[in-house]
Amino acid sequence: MLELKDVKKTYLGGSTALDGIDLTIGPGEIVGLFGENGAGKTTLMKCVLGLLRYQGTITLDGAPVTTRNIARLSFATCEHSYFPALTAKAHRAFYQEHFPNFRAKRFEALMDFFQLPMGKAIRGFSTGQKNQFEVILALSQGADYILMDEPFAGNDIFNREDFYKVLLGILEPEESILLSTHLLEEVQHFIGRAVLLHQGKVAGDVTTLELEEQGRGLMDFVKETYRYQADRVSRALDHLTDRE
Amino acid sequence: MKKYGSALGPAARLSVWKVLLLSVLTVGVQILLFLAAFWGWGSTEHITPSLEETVRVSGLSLAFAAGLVLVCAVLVLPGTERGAKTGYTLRRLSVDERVLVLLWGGLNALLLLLFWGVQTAAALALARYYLHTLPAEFSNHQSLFFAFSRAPYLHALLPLWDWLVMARNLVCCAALGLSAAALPFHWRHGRKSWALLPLAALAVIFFPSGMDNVISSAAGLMIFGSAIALTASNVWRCSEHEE
Repeated sequence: MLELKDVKKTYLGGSTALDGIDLTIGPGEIVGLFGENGAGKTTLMKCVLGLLRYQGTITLDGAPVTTRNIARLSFATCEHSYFPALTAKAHRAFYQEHFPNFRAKRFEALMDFFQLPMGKAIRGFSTGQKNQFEVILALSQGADYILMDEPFAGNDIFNREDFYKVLLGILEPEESILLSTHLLEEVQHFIGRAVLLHQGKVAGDVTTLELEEQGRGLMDFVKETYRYQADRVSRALDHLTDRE
Repeated sequence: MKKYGSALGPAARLSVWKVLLLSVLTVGVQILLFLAAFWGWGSTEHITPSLEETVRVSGLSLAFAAGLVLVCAVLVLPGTERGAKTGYTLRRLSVDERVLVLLWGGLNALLLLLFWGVQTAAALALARYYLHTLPAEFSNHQSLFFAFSRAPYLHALLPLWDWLVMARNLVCCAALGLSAAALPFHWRHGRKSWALLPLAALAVIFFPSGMDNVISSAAGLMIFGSAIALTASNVWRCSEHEE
């Protein structure tokens, strides 16, 4: 169980990125993390991984995240965290050395599925291939909680669709995913729960089952939560037209 | 310890061949400079310059200085996160990042020693070449020894009995190596750190000096020794009091 209690993060400049986040993610959950730019999605993930200092508590099965249990968390980010000069083969050796639960079979299967070369330095990959490789590493690390921050930025729709399908097929029941993305409609059938952040706070938290029971779609839920004004475009246009 | 070795692997892969290449390139430039000075002098002055004078005029120490600065830059590169935030991976390993930085500094120091060693071997080869071209009455078995005792640059490369200069050079390599490892560490944690720049400048200035000057060598030793202590303590403290 990954548990965040009253997590706050204020940057040196004084801006508040996280303002008392309470969130629990259990084993096997696939959670979509949504929010506008600057809502705190990336900051939240970095706090969980210990990449940023924060106030509050973040625990993994009751224990704080330290070098002892950090291997239970993996991270795929659109900023990329692989070693550009190393080949995929060298990454496999590196990850096997550092992550005892590394899933070599899954790594090879995914490399094969995406037809990525094992002997080429990653910096020679295309943007889409780099994203795929980043996600492959996160999925193969053998982590219980896989954090993904906009992992498909730069990938075409076919690649993304394929990936969701593969992902659902390979995940073990105890593996959890926290996926931050703006591609709501694409991931709505893939996730089991949606968490909405707004100005550093949890603005909404709902399972897709609850939405189904209520007969609502994820997009409706998001629009309601953010009090989206559907007529704002027409109002703006009218206003502009009147002026002219 | 195996995990630390593995964590250093990507940096080592990136640095070793680049340092070797830079060492060889520097030697290439030095050979050209030395031959230009040696043959240029002979054709205009019609006299045979001493080895020490040829070394001084050819500007071998300048080529060494430029090579040293470039090697320092190359040592910093693996940690600067160009193209990817490798720090995210390094910081997720079950190793103490502070220990990793110290070991990374040790690796850098070894690579600087390699650069120094290649330059020393090149200087010895150039000196031997010079002595071979002289008539027998102008050179003997001790000529090489005298040259490395009298020319500041050659003496700094191979200080022979001068243990203070030898110690200064070793400590200088350690200080530069550690600073080159600490710089990307601080950058990864969102802090500015430029200590390597003044240290590299000092190394370049101090290197060919100190012969027969205990104060200069001791000062160099103290400065680089203090830099090691300060850099190491800074890495330890900053990690504890991170933002």
